[in-house]
Amino acid sequence: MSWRAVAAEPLLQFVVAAALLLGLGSLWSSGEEAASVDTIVVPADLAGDAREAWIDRALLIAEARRRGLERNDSLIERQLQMKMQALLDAEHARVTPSETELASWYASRQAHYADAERRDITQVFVPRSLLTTEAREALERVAQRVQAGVAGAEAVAGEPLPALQHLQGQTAEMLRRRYGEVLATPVFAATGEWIGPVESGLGWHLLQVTDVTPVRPRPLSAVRDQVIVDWREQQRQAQRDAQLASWRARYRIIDGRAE
Amino acid sequence: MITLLELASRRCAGHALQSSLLLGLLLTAACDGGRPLSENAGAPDTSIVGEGPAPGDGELTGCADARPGFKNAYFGDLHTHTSFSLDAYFFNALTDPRMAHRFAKGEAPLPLPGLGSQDVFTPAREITLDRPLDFNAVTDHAEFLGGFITLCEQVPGSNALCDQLIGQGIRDDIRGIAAGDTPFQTQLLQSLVADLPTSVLPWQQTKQINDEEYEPCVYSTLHGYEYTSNSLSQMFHRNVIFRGDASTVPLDVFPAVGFTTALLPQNGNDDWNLFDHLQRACVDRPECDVLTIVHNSNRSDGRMFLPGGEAAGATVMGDLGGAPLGRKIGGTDIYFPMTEADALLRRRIDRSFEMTQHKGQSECAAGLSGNYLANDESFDPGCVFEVDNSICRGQADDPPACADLCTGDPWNDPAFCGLGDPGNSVVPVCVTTGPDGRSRPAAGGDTTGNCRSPLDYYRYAMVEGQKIRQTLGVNPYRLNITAALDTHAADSGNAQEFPFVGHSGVLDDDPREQLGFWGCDNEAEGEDPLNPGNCTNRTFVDVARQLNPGGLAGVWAPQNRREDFFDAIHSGETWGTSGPRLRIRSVASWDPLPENICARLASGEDLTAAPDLTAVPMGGDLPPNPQATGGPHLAVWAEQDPEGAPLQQIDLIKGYLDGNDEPKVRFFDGIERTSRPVRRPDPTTCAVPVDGHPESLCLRWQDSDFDASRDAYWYARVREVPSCRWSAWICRAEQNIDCGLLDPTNGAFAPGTPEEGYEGCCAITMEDGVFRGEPRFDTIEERAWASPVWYEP
Repeated sequence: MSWRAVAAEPLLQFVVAAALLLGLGSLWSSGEEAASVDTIVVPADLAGDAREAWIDRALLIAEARRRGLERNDSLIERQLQMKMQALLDAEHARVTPSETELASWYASRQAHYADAERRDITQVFVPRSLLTTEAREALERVAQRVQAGVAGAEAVAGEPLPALQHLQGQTAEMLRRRYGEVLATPVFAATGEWIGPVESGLGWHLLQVTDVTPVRPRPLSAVRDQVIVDWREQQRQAQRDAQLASWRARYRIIDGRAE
Repeated sequence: MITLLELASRRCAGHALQSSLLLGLLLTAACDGGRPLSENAGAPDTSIVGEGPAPGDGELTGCADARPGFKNAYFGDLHTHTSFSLDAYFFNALTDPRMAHRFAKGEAPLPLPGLGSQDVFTPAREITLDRPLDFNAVTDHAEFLGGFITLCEQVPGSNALCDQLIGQGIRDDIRGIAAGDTPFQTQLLQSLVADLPTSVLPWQQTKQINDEEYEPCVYSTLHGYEYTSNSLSQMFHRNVIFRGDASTVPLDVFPAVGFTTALLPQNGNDDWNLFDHLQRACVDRPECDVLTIVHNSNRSDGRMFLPGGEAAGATVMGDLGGAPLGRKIGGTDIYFPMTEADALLRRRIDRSFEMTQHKGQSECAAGLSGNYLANDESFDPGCVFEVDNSICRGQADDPPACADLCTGDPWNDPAFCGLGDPGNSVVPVCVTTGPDGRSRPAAGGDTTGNCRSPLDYYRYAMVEGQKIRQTLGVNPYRLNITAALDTHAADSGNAQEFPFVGHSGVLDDDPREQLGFWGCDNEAEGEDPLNPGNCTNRTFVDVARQLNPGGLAGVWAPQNRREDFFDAIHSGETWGTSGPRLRIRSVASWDPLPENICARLASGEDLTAAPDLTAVPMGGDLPPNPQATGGPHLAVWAEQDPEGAPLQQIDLIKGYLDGNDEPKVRFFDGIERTSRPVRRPDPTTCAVPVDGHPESLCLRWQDSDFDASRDAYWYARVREVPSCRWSAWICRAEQNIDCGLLDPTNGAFAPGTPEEGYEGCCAITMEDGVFRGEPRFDTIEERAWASPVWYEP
């Protein structure tokens, strides 16, 4: 293998670049880390103007830190926060739960992975643009009939209203997206009676829930991948919370006076 | 030679080689990345249900909402940045791709950068999406994707270097970054590391997260990234979207930045470099498919869509004829005319256009004039909507096409009126346009800086492509329509006008930064923006006119699956909205469309399969007219967001080649519209009066001025009645700012008062050294654009 081929290898380039950055970074940071208010250690390889410029810079930084200027710099604070979060996450490497852990964790959150409740609905829907006085009166008549026990199709027959619609298998989320929360809430509170007319953003609804498919749990095998992802996320967050909790013991936290 | 992947495989097999954290992370991703999820995982096995006919024995047996012979309307976002993006990272985005997806699903509150109790304007915030999305693509910048996390946080000891070389440079010029400029030292560093595989790890992580968060039938993730060519301040951006799961997607992203970018900036071949790469890395592989979504042509200075037959001073090898400039010889100034093969390549990969996003819409702009406009009747008042940098500014020296748009009444004028000084969200019209910074705003005087060309805007670029087809046989610019946010805070789909939380972290996380502020040239040297006597070139930086919450993409698809969405975007059965979940659908036919066509469009019926119709859906091609019975028939149906404002009108825009083969655009204003008078919202509450305006509109229309021998397109746009813009929500409904309290000596509110930082709520003028402010009331007509129907005889 020629040196050219070796040099062209992306991994080698990457490692060399990382090493270069590491070295430079260490060089850069070693001076800062060693610096204090009283002592500034200048890298040995600096001389002349470069050395003087380096000292000036180190003095400014040291003096700024001594005065606590970085504490009031939200940009710096957020950078530090991001770096610490990344470090915490990196320390908690990707782990895989045991079968027992996974099953236990899934059992405690089974409802989250279940198929949502679905409802079949029969409705008279009058779009707002079609809601003439005549249609409004007809809707009221139909509402009275169905409340009196007349079947929907019979109650609507002959009225100047759109045909009955049958919406099948609607989840609350589907209704929310199609007609808004104002319809989803009463439909999922209903127990078979006719409800309405209800005004949504699109028009008026007179409706009845005709069938309910209850929430159906799904076996772990059907949602295993998703559960593992969620378990890892939860572990990551727990690790972060635990670390923060342990750090609280290192600090005396007091409430300051409002400025 | 051991490749990176081979090495990763060996590590995955359990070799106990100790390595650095960096390598460990890389290999972790390689071990877990690319694991495809079963497409059936999580798919309910219930019977087919929905709003259409009763369940039958149809072919679709996947998702619960799939209905044979019907399509559903879905909403999503195809443009989201997280902390894996260079700029978002230094804007202090606190979020990664997983958090973007969890937010889009409506699950997890998203932490937003907020200055907390140290900032008097904005508390630290968490937000939750009001309604989940159906699909989402995290599209971080390919350029140094995730590199800052890798190099600045996970390589021990590198923090100081990163902060010095990159972070500080960006923070020093954070507003320049937002405007598309990149500090030289950042460019240099990017160039130096451009050819290193630092993006492999973050890209693997992104893909892995995308696959893990994909829930077929509920929430689809698409793999993607942004190709961000910014050379010479010409935004030349595309989102790259893949069809399949991670195992089918290329190993690495393809960035616009190369080794020589910083020292030799050019963009003459940027598009061809990307297309060639995608052809090799994806299109040529049977398991891979890809498309690109063009965006921010409104900041490309004419670069995105070059005109046919214009060399803009470049040396051309051969005869350009009616073709635009094509590839150039690298490192030179010598171009070839675009070839038919390259026109086909571009058309194969460029499939969609982001009509609007947080940096404004790219449909059209007030102030343009020229040959594209068919006649004086074609002025489109809809072109004053979210224009980002504006050509018009309400001044005496505005271009003639701006006449009458600004009346001097800030309460009622469009937002761009009174922008004031040039350079403050204002751009001139380009005199010439071309690659490599050839676009020029003026023939004499100042010939540098950004400018706007008609071809920066969709309706003109599409018809220019039809003209180019006369030479090349292919329209290389033909694109269908979507829209997106382009948020840099990972809040996918958060397109609400209120609350407007900002999209760019520290750039716009408080009202002062969102609305605007006084600035001097030399603030770093001690100049004081609040002291006109000590402030060089004192200007009110009118940020509010530029930013908006962005839009959403709509897709008609048979079910919620990644591949169905990709296929719909590819074919163009898509639309873009300015934020609300408006639905719009159009169809065309040579035959008169039946009376019930509106109900059938609304139902989602797949009209291409209807036995009684020969119809073409939006995004499709009208075939040659077999009987020459006149112009095509169009039908357009649109419906308001159930949580939004009523509809005002449907407009049609037609592009065509006239009898001289000249490209023309004609605007048909409100062919279908509400019958009631339209009022503005209540300025104290922003409540929109319904006033009997319709929840849906539908038109049936025949083009009576049609030449079957010439190219044409038609697209529909629906507009809501006026509602409060985000700036009106803040200034009027939320704060009710009294502009009379402005300090007459400096045009600012007194420090420490509740009004401090809200100067952008006022139209500020100065006469004889005395400043005064009048309140603005910015309203918008939210809208949706349907993909065109095309005709190429």
